[in-house]
Amino acid sequence: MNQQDQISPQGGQSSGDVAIRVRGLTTGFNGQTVLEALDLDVRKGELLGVVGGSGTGKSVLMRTIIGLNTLQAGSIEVFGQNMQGLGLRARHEIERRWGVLFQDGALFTSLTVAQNVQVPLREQLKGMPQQLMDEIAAFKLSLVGLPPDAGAKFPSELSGGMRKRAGIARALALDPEILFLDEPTAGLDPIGASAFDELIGNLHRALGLTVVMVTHDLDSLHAVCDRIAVLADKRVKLIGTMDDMLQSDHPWTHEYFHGPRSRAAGIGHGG
Amino acid sequence: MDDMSPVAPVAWIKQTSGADGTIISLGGNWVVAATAGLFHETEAIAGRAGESITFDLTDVAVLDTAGAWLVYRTARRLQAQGYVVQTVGSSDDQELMLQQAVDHDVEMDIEPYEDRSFVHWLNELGAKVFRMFDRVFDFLNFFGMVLFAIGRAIVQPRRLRLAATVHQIEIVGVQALSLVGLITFLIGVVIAYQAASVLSDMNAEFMTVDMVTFITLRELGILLAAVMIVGRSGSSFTAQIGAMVMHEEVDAMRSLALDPIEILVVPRVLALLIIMPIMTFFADAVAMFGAILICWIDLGITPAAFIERAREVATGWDVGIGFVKAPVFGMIIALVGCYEGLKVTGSAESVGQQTTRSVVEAIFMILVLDAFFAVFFTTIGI
Repeated sequence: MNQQDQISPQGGQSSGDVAIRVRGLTTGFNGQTVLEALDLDVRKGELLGVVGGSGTGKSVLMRTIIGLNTLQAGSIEVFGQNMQGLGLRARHEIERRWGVLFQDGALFTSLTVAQNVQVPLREQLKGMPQQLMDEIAAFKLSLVGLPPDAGAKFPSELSGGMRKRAGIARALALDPEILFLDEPTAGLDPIGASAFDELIGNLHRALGLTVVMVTHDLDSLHAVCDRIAVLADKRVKLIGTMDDMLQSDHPWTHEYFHGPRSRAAGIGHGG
Repeated sequence: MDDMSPVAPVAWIKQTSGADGTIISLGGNWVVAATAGLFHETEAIAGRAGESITFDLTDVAVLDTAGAWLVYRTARRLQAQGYVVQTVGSSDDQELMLQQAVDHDVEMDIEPYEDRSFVHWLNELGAKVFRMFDRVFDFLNFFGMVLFAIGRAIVQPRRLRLAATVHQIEIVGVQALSLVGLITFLIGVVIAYQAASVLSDMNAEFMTVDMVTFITLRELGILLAAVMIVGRSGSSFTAQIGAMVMHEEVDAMRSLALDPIEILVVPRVLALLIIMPIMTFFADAVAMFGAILICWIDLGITPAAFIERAREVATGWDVGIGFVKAPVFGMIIALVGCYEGLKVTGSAESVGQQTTRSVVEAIFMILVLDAFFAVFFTTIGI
């Protein structure tokens, strides 16, 4: 517990409870700063929703944590290890412990859905027997609620919602401890979206996952998130439970959680 | 602090015989990274007739879904063999994982079923032939629509997209000059050099000029220009229009009562119709220039003598043939490029396929037509 003396702005948990610890993160493109001196703690086993207006850098934050964007300043610690200080091998070890769902699933179009799920198994764990890979792929696809005939289909033959489910199955192939979701319910109809929320909640509980979910969807936030982080002015403006959000007087947060859409979602109590 | 480091894939299986049957003790980290090694060990587990089998999970530190699956599938196999199987010593979390495996035990195909029979092959062959005819008719239909759109643009000149046409002329023509110039110059040099080396063996060096002149003016200039324009512009037509189709831009045009053929295809067709004859003249000139240089350096034929000889042997028709073929080839390149672009469907793979198809088809059609032209011109004696 060498980090114990560090004071956390989110309530001072020790590093043992924290899966991801972001400190002073600054990043941007083309000379423009998108995030500046951002601090964020993601606790082990929680389902954290990240919200914010368009262009506030929600996806950038996620992409920076998983290492797809370079950060200009600050540090990111995952499972207590500083990602910047790690060599390539150690980095891959950490990367293997998280799964990522991109916006439209990002399945490999030349492989069937089941083969997509097998990619991480085949590439990361040499020597797994084909039969076991087939069984695990079927298990994972069933786990995310896809019907048995979906496995042999190509991604182009699936609907958007099914592609996202398949994307989660691939993200779960290596039994990660952290799951990152980028706008999981965007582009789904309300029924499909709430079924997807339910899936995320179930996986979170059943597999004991830590989930970081970037979203716009008030229903998702309401239904499944343990805590919510609001991005504004290039940093995490507010983090807490739904009740904390409703009591906030930060203008954007108030507007967001008390607007007409939140009333429709049954959150704002008539705002 | 074991949660600070990745879970080490150390796991083991021990089989002992107890009073009430076989006990299989599992221990360590039953995680996905360990399953490859454990698979064959679990396959080897067998019970003794008439005895029950107990899985003891007391020593299992970590059990993830893959590990739970391995335990479950082993238990399932033993149960199917007639043993009474039970599980003891699992924690609540592990129980939950095992339950997931039970709940999601499904049969699933990994790849689509592929019929490899002879009848299926014949069927596919027939379908391919029919598709080919369909495509030919479809292409002719497209050709007709483009001609109609061009005709309409002539009758109603305000329908002509002049700015787009000029823009295309710059891209496919002006910007391609350096490439076409370089390649045709080099080919002119090579042809002259090869001709000179063969003909000088027969003391007929002077015939080099005849050969180079005929081959360049009748075939080489136009073919090289056409092939390079296919590679450079035909492919980019397909990719550009294909990307637009993919992003539903073409559908958006149609929904705004705009004609994609008028907006996208006609300017490109007109641009190549105008550019190809000019490009042919340019290619002819540069290739001849390369040949003149070689004849001068290698054979000592002065440029003046070369040109005089060339004017003696070549008729106006030798130059004219190139200009007859050029607009036809230009039309084919633009038509095929745009047609294949409009045939793109949703995926990124499809853009690549259509681009390949466009290049292959355009070059094929150009070479076949070129052979027809050669026969035709020879028959009518020019």
